[in-house]
Amino acid sequence: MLRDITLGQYFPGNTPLHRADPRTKILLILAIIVALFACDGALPYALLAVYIFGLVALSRLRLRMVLRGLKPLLFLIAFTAVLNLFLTPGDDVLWRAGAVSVTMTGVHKAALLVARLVLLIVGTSLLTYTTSPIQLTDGFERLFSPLKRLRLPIHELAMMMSLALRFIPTLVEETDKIMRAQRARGADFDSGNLLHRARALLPILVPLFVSSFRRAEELATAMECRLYRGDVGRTRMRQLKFGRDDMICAISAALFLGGAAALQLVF
Amino acid sequence: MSEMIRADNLTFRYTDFSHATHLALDGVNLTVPYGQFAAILGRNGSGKSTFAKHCNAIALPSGGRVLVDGIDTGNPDRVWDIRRACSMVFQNPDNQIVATVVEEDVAFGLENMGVAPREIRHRVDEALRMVDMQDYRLHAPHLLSGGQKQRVAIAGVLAMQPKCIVLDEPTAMLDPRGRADVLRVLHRLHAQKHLTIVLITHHMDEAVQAERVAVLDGGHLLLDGTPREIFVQTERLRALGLAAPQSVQLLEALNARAGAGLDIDALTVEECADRIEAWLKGESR
Repeated sequence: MLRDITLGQYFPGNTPLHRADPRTKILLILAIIVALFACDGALPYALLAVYIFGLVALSRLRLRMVLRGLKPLLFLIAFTAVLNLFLTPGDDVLWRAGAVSVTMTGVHKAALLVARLVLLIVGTSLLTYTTSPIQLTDGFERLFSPLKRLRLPIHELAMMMSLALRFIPTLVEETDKIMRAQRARGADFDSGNLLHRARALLPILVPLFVSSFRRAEELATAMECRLYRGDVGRTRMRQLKFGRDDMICAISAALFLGGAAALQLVF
Repeated sequence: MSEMIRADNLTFRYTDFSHATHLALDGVNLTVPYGQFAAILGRNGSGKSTFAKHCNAIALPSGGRVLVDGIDTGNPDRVWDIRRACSMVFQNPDNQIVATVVEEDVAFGLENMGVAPREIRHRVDEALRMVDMQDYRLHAPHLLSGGQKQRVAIAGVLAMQPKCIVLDEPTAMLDPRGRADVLRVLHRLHAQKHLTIVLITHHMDEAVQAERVAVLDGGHLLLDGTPREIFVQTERLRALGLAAPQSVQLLEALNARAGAGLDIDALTVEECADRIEAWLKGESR
């Protein structure tokens, strides 16, 4: 169960999308999201799907891995699709049983919704799969750095985010270990009603909480030992500059997203 | 200014949660010259980790003073200079790795120092090479073994080009192979980079390889000398809850049971074997 968490997991690689500036990628994904919401025709959607899965292929990500990110939302997608399919009113009725009817509009709406959600999830996970969390937060920090002038703690937020991401696997591993230790002493996490199960989680959460505080303290000391003192005179190893890979992203986005917009407007 | 670390009459007092006061360090005088490989030994609660914390101003003396690279750790304006001169590696590698990619973690300290990006790249590559982790440059730290993680942590401080690295039980959570790898790297840094190494440990076989061994117990510095001087004091070590190296123990047992009359200061397996061989040959003659 715990091994399935892939959110925020980075798969290292050396492809144009991996190498591109995180700011470019963030803007690219934002543009894709906007496009997904702005379009509703079959043709523009086909083009967007080609583009997004093309990017997946370009990044040499395994399709199975990418689709696994859909699993937690499968129920939500199916549920909304079914609601849209059966409960959309319209004149072009295809099938009717009492109060429930399937209309052509409904089929369209359901298909669009499924496509939109799937492409949204695949598109956004593309960002986290090809960008290391540090680069990602780095990109966020730089993209939003003008807000520092408003005394917003952008650097601190970015640092907290990247540390949280860094410790997800560590804490997952630890949770697994604690659960096994509790099971070995007869704890039962899998039966009983909801309340019972929630209560069974308490002996896991307490040690996890305590140990994460201890970890946080040690980490803070280790960071200070490595001369971390907040956003004071820091430099970065990775220089973010607009290069060939960013150009590839920008041109492909202009072609495909522009194409989708054109198709949407024409048809 | 001939010492990397100089503790004069160092005392450290702390209050526990029941408001009782304890002396973790009580009048410790200890100096580590530049370029020395020193091991600090002691059982749990001996004050060895507390001493380590004084070496880069994580803990400040309650009494006495500590000079690191000639700078008093009590001077708040120089804390960052002290930490630049003397880096620290901790016991749990998981809790000191900041980044999710090996090379980005190694770069963290340099980024904090404000080093130019090109220079960071250069030093990161060099540091990873020194610890034999260059092939894992782009790996995720949580997928590495304990020994590999600890070597990444060492690379992280090494890249900052300190004069001294203090390691607080760096091998306590590692398997034998990971321990051997970390120790090999430390000796390489000492030999090639002439770094001062202060290794806090409770493993005899690690201390044996050092140039100098200091034994702490109950906050006092009890023994201080070369491994050969320290490890022949078997009775004394036993009283401190420490065991002499197995080679010494074996020779001692031979002396006691077979009246072998051997010098017991054999610190390595080879030395020990040579002595036993010589003795057996002498006996058969």
